Amino acid sequence: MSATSDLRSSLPLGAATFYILLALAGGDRHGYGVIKEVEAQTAGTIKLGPGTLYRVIKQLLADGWIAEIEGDAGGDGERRRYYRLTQRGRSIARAEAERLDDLVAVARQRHLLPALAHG
Amino acid sequence: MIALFRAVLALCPPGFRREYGASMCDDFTLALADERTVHGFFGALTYALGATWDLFTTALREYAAMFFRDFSYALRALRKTPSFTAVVVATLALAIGANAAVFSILNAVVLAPLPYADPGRLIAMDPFTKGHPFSFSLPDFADITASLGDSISNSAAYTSVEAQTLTGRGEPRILNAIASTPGLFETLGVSPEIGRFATADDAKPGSPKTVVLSDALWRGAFEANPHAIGSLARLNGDAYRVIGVAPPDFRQPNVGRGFAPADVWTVLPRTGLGTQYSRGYHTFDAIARLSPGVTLGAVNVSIERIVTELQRRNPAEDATFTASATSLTDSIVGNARTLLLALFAAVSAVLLVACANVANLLLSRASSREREFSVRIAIGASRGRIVAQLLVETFVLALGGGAIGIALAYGIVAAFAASRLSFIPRADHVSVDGSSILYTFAIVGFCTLAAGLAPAFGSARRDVATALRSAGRGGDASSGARARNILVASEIAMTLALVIGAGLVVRSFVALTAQPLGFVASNVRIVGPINAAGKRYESDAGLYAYMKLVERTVAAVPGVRSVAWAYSLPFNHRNISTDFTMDGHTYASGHEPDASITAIGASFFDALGATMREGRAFSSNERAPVAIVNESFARAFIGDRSPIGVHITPSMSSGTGNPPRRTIVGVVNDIKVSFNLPSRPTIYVPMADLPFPASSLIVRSSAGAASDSAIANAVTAIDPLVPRPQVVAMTSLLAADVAKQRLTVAALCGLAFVALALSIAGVFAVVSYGVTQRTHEFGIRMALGADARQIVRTVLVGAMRLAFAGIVLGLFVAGAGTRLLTDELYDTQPLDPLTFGSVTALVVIAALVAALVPARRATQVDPIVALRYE
Repeated sequence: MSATSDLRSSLPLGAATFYILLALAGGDRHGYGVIKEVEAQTAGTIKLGPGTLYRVIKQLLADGWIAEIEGDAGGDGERRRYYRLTQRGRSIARAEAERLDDLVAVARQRHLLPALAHG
Repeated sequence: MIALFRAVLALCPPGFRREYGASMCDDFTLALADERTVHGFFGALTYALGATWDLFTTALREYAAMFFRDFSYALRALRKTPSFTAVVVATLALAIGANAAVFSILNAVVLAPLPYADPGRLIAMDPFTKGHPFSFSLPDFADITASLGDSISNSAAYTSVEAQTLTGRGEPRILNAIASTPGLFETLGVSPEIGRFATADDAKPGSPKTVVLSDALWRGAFEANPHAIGSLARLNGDAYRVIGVAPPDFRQPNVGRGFAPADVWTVLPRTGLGTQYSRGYHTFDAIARLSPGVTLGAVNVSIERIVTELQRRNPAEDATFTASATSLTDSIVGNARTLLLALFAAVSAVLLVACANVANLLLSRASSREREFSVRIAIGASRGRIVAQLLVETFVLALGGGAIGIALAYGIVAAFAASRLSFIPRADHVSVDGSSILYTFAIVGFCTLAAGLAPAFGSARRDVATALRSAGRGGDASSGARARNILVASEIAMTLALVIGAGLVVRSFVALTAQPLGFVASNVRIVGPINAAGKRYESDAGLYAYMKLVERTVAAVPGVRSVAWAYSLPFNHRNISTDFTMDGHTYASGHEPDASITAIGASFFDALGATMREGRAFSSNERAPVAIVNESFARAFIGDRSPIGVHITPSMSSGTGNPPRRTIVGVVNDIKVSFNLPSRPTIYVPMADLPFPASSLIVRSSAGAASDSAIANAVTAIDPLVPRPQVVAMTSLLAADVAKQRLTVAALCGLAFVALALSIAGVFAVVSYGVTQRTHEFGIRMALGADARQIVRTVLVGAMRLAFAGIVLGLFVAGAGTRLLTDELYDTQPLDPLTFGSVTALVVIAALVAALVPARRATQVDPIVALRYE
């Protein structure tokens, strides 16, 4: 079993999963931080509900794509749980991004999108 | 807002809630505050509702995920114990299959609405005379419906017309014809497939004769030709104009019995001249449709008033006539309902027994897995999770049983539909349909809970420390053992009730079929009815000439020893009643006695093998006004003196003029006409004197079925326009007469057998388990000098205590349940002590045998081995 074929079998990711992985790719965050980050990433169109958020987090933890870390105490002195992308989670997110990138390239060829140079 | 969110949170699976509940609430509060500052109150409200809905769907998804996890875990666990799985699935499949089948039958026969428009408003008018079912005459029907006025919106009277021969459309064929007043189909709310139905105009005197065809006849003899409408059909030689075709699913109601076969419908005016319009000609069934808002009770009050008036006005014809209305549905499915409900109760009992048995097996299995559960609890699984997982395991088993059960039900129902049981209306229409499958799902759910709850909670309740310590050695048994004992006792109770039910119907069946026939059924074959119709046969002389010819030709067929014509035969259910008077007696008008009457050929009693008690049989071609009576007649009307030479005048005769006064020349023994009817006083008259059209031949033949086609050929050779008659063995008529009872016996015995087998297995399992649990104790007792007999006695006494608890409960259940069978039993009390006693003994013996095997094993315990675990 090669690692890449294993990665591919996980794709495509669910929308909520990919948003969360993307949010954590920018750094460790607690739950509400993820909600805010996803909102920012999607220009305010997607505001995850806590139910979906933690259902996905639970699954990501079980699959070992993210890990829970002890965070700093918040303003109220309570410790919050932070989540961090694992190496494996990062590879999966990258694979998904590449998959989407290929699709976007096709969309450009078909003139669905302007042929802009992409960084 | 937050309260609503928390409420939905409470619906989430406990594990998920514990882990993330607090975080979710925190995040929800933060996000809500955030929304309020950015988007104001309505923005916050929108978010709150969205997030709450999201949480709700999350909860559902979590449950589904848990269920599928448990489901696949259960599949893996069950695959590891294939024999256990097979036994449980097979047990449940049998019980669920039987239940699904009986439900399908009950649903199609009893519960499904009749195939008419708004069947709830249809009524049957049931006439009675002297307490037994009777028929309407057209004048009585006309008077009653006229008086009911607006209470009914439509009504019709109809009668079956025997033996109508259709000619000119391929082979001549005998049809079942219904002659009805106009409005039969309108009353039932049925529209024609093509053409139209008869109207009042068609029934006017002088109108051309019209006929409506059944869909089957139209497709058969008329090749589904739409131009059949307007064409002529020849029935018994008369030309009828075809005006319409009834829809394919139409069924002709048969009041009080079910549905009647019908190929053609002819129309009768409501009033007219001739015999069939006389007030004494009681042959019609009547149905009506209630007007909206009118109740059955109100109609019955009116009918009672009219009937009293009719009795007063027409003492000669209606002195003993009464009538009452019932719902048409009750009238049609009522008979089958009792039987099917009894069967339904029986299969339900089997289901309970099966569930108890499976629960027992699951309890034993759970106790052998105690270690597994203890470990899982110790590493943090909640008890709730273990209960859920065990229930899912039971559900998987029940689902497997349900799947095979449905297949089984298909088989049973197909066999049932194919056997064309005439005593169950719509039997050919029974199928396993959507509602059967829904019902099966419900049973699967029921089995899951009934068989799974006790074992699941029993296992999860176990104290971890104790279980870990004692696992592997028979320790704690008290609560599990008590549950097992209760299960087995209730299994025995249900089984006892079922076997008693089966015992009663067997006893009743034996009594029913052991009634003396009064004739020798073997080697007797019935030919016909043979319907010779047309001008040649309209006169008695012409008809009788034909009958003589047929008799002679059939007598020449090899193997035939004796041939006679008869209209009413034993077990052919063609009973005709007649009033009669006897010289030397005076009768109040309308209160003359009645008896069955039939015309017979000279060799009738000889062919049947009946015995003349006194006097003589008819001689060949005897035309004198004579009669033979049976013993019941002699006993009821003549008493001790000899009936020979007594003069009677049956009101039934041929042609016009006064009926002849007949001299009794012989007395014959009672000849059974049905196992289900007591022998009636019967008058036999010579066929030569009173030839009945559409009579049958009775043939005693040593050739058996081999001569059947030769006999039928002999008949058709004489007149090719006479339809080829059916030839059947008398023994098959006897069998058909008790088909309903045979079905009851077969079904109840089968179910009782299954229940008994399950109970024996249950007792065996529970005693075996007990013995295993007490290996240690028996070892010590043997070491201390107890001998084998004492050990066996200990085990058996325990088993018997269980059996007796079950038997006491079962006797109560049986006492209440056998009431359902009251109407189905012949010469057998529902509380028959012999059946109750012998079945109880049987169950005790079965329980003893089931306990004996493990009891003997207990004596083979080696004290050394047993004690080594100490």
